[in-house]
Amino acid sequence: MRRALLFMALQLAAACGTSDDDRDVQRPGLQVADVLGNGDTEGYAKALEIRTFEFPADHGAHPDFRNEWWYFTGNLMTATGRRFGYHLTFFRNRLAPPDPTASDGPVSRWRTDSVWMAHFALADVDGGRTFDHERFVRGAGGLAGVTAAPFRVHCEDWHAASDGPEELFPLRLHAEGEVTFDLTLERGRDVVLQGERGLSRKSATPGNASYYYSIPRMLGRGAVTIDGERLEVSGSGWFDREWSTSALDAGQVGWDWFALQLDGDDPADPLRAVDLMWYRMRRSDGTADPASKGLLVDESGTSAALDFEDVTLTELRHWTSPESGARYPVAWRLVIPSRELDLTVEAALDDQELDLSFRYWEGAVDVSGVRNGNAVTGHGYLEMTGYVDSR
Amino acid sequence: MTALLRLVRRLVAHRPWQPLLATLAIALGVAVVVGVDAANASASRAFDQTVDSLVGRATHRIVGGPGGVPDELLVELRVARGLDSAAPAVEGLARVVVDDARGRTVRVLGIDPFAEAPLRPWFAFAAGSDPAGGLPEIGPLLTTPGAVAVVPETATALGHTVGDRFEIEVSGVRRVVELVDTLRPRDDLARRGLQDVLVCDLATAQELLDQIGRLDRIDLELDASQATALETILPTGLRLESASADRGTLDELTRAFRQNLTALSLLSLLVGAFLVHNAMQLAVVRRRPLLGLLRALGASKRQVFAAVLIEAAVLSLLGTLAGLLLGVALAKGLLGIVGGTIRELYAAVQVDAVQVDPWTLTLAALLGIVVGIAAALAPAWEATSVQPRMAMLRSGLESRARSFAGRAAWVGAVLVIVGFALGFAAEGRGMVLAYAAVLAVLLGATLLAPTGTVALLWLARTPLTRWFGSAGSHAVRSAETGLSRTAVAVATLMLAVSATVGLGVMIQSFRSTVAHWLGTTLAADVYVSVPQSMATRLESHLDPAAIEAILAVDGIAAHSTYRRIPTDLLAPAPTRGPAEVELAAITPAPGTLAMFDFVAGDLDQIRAVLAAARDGVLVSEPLAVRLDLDVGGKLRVATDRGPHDFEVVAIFRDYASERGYGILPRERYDRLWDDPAVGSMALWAADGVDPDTLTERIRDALAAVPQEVLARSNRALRDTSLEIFDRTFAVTAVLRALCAVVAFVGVLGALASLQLERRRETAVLRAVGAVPGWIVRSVFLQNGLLGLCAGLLSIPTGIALGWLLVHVVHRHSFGWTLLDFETPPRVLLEAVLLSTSAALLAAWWPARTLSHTPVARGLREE
Repeated sequence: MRRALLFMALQLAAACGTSDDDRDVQRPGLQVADVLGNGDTEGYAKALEIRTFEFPADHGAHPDFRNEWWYFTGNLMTATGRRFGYHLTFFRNRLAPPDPTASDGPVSRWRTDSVWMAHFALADVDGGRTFDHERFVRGAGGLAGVTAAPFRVHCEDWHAASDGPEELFPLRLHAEGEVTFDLTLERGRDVVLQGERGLSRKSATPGNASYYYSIPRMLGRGAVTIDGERLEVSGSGWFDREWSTSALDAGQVGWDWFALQLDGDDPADPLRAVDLMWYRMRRSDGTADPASKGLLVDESGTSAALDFEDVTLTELRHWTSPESGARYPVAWRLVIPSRELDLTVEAALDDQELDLSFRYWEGAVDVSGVRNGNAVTGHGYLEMTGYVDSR
Repeated sequence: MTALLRLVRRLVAHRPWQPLLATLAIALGVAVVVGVDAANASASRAFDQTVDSLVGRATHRIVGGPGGVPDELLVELRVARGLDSAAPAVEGLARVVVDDARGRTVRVLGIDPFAEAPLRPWFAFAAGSDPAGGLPEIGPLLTTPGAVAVVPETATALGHTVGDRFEIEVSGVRRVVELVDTLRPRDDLARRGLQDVLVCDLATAQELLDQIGRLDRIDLELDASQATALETILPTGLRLESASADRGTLDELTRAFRQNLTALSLLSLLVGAFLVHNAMQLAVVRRRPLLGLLRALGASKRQVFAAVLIEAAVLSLLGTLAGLLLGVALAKGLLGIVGGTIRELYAAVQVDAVQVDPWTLTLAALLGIVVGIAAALAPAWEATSVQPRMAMLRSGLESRARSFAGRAAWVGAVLVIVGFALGFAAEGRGMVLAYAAVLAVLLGATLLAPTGTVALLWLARTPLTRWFGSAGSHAVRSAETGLSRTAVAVATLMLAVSATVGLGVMIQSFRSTVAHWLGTTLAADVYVSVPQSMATRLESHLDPAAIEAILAVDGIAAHSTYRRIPTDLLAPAPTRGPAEVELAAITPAPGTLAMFDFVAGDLDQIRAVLAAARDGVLVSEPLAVRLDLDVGGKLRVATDRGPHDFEVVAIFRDYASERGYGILPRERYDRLWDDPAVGSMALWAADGVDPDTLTERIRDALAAVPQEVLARSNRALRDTSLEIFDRTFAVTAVLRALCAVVAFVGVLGALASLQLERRRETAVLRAVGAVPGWIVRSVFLQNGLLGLCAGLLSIPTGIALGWLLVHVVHRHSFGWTLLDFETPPRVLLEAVLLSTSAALLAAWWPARTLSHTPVARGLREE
């Protein structure tokens, strides 16, 4: 759902007129609004009711819906303790609804009405740098797309792919730009369904919802090539999946989305730990929207939805981007009294703003605090949108 | 000194026509140079811009043989190899259908909008409906069937607005496109390069151009090591070339055409120089007695000399300025015609903006000023070096002019001989020698002109005296005694007129040769082809259904098929042009051999090659010249099976392709290439079947085929070919007309001022009893005579020029040997008429003025 909002925000930004800064205009190569569709939801399937999820089929595409994405984020470390955060996401976007009246002449393999967008960012925490890249690729001819078994989603050579048709793991991620990133996710927790058994409603309007599931913790190892140096890394990750055909509610300007992984007590099984997702939707008047939601998965793998009233979120410190002038909260206090959880979440690196077609903050965070009276630590990923003034 | 300049100023005020005519002549000379050169340069630039904007930042590109580049390669590069700069392009020409007829030619350019940003920012920031000047709307471009976008200028030219659907014709098949957006590139270069381009998505282009599964090229931005690595993994039949090769191909396409224009611009330079020279020299020679008088009155040699030079400088400067302006206007007019020819014959390249090269302006300005001043130097030196008393007398100058004419004739004769020798030597040795030959011959002819004039005047004396009495004999004698002025005028006019003769001879010889060749080569009765333009890299091919329909027609005795493809030339290295060669695969028919006019080769060997009994290739003469190949030589080309060596078995004449091509039998072609397509067919009618009837039957049979196929009889094709020929040479014909105008105005100016100079002389004649009518007759007769002299002298000069253009310049530019050398009587007659009528017209005003000036005032002159 949050990325549905990312799309919506992109659309809003585009609708408000792209900046006339040459650099901004030249980079994306096309109007973001076009890639993301014009907001018309007519003719597409909608997330109306609770459905049964089937795997591996649901790892694949749901082309009747307008938007869909595969979201990988996580924290990595070298043996010597050098830290990295990664963010690799594939977006499928349909430009026009399925057309049964399409002409029947010979059709080019490049003919398509779907466009894929991929974002790849690597935060070099110790180096104080963030590398960001994006790609737009047509969803045809084998340039970009997804298959369910074996699972493989790709934009050109950036990909996330399983080895065999049966198992999701090992799951290999690859992307490259100024830096090269290869990660093999060896195992992970079970799929958890977000919202009501996977139906994540955004408002009272029927269909204004998405289908949403996650794998909140995966473990893996790989390599990062940075400044020509190849570094072996290992760490954890989070996988989010969502598809929908929905529009942004009036009055919502952005969100702060947390994916936090607390360190477990059992060194033998790092998967036995607490994972927490929370998003706060912000309205234009500065207040949080009651539609803000979350999910908590405990050591046993039991998940429970978190509602607006369950969570208290406080901004502790801010960082102003010299590039965009946006003022991001980079340190937070997140308290869930019912779970006896009191956490401080702080950006591993303040400047993790991504300078892509749409400017947003997405980066690695450190977690520390108290759970059930005991000190806990952890790390995670935070996404913040709607802080850049729309010109 | 200031007193002298004041005098000059008063002279100018008193006789404004003298400096005015001189200025006009200089302006004309400068304008011709600027006009022709700017038109030429602007046409070149239009090509370059098209290439630049389409090539963009790409350093390399992958191209293939007749099958193009397979779609799969793009996936391989972008997905397996991660080359995200790989930008595919599908390109082709189409005609926009207007009122059910074929209208404007446009280029269909299919690209992957998502791959463009790194290579061609013009597309990335091309504007769309966004008022802020944003980007094209990708959505409609991708999802609307037949969606295209154009720059606003092209939308206007096509008469369509966003949302309009219209038909285009590709290889004879009509398809509907929809204009979904306009492109508004921010930089001018891109905007110009996109004129007449229908930009669309890759998929749309493949569907519109019937090229499903095939790309024309993949553009890449690579460094040297990436390029080397890529080269090794490319499948056979595909090749990696540097992006500048694109420029090379287009350049080569129009090279001969442009070289032709360059030759013409050099010719115009020469004519311009002579015009300027003539005008200035006359202006000074006219002043000679006055200069003598000034010196007699005490002005020093240096003062007088300086005064003359200052006057010359002022006139040259004014004339040059006017000429530059006039030249730019002239360039606009010429460019319309040049651009039309290029659009028609070569490519959908928009040639409209005149861009004047600073070099052109500098050269033309130097020509006007330097030649202008230099032309004044010699007579000024002469006038100040003799005794002042002598300077006041014309007789001294004239007697020296006569003796000079004699010596000049010798030098001229030597120059002409040297020129021709250079011409023979220049064959195949480069354009510089060829131009030197032309220059030498023209200079020589100019130096011979005074003696020629004297001879012609001598011949004219008796008949003119007999027919017109004393007015006739006076006209001749006065011309003879005023040789210092008349000879220069005649020489200049002769030169200007001879340019029109030379160009006329060249065009006619060319046309006649081509007509004869067409007679031989178009031996079959009916020709079937698909409409196409010369700019397409690969010819359109006949739909198999069309071939089937044709062969089912009753009354065909034999048929032959053709397929032309471009391929990589591996050896030998070409002396000019890109390392590419065109090959034509032919299925021979009994009449095939008769269609060739072989320059070299053994007939039995040729038969064996055509029957595929032995390996070998027949090459056209231009190709043989371009590659410096002879019978027995080897031609190594890239085939779908890898490099292949062909032995050159014969060389045949051909005027269809400037770059030349090779012919091989279809059987061998099919073994070396995977390309079953047929481009065109030649059909022979069975005995007793009228070719026209057969053509009709074929047309009827083709009516059921969706592809538009042209079936033309032998005669119709010949006419069409000649029509194309005429269009190609339209520019040359226009330049010839321009030369004529220059000559005309030149004659007018020179002879009018020559006669006006005779004010005092006619006043004396009137004083001793000549009536105005006699004066008028004398003036007309003398002018007509001088015009006739220039016209007659221009004939041999023009023919010599034509011969050089035909045998040296064109042989070098095109590799064509022109068998026919024709001096059309019409062209020769035109030259004489042009020259004489201009001369007679030039007599009108002086005759009026001279016969009406009161005697006393005429005598008071000077």
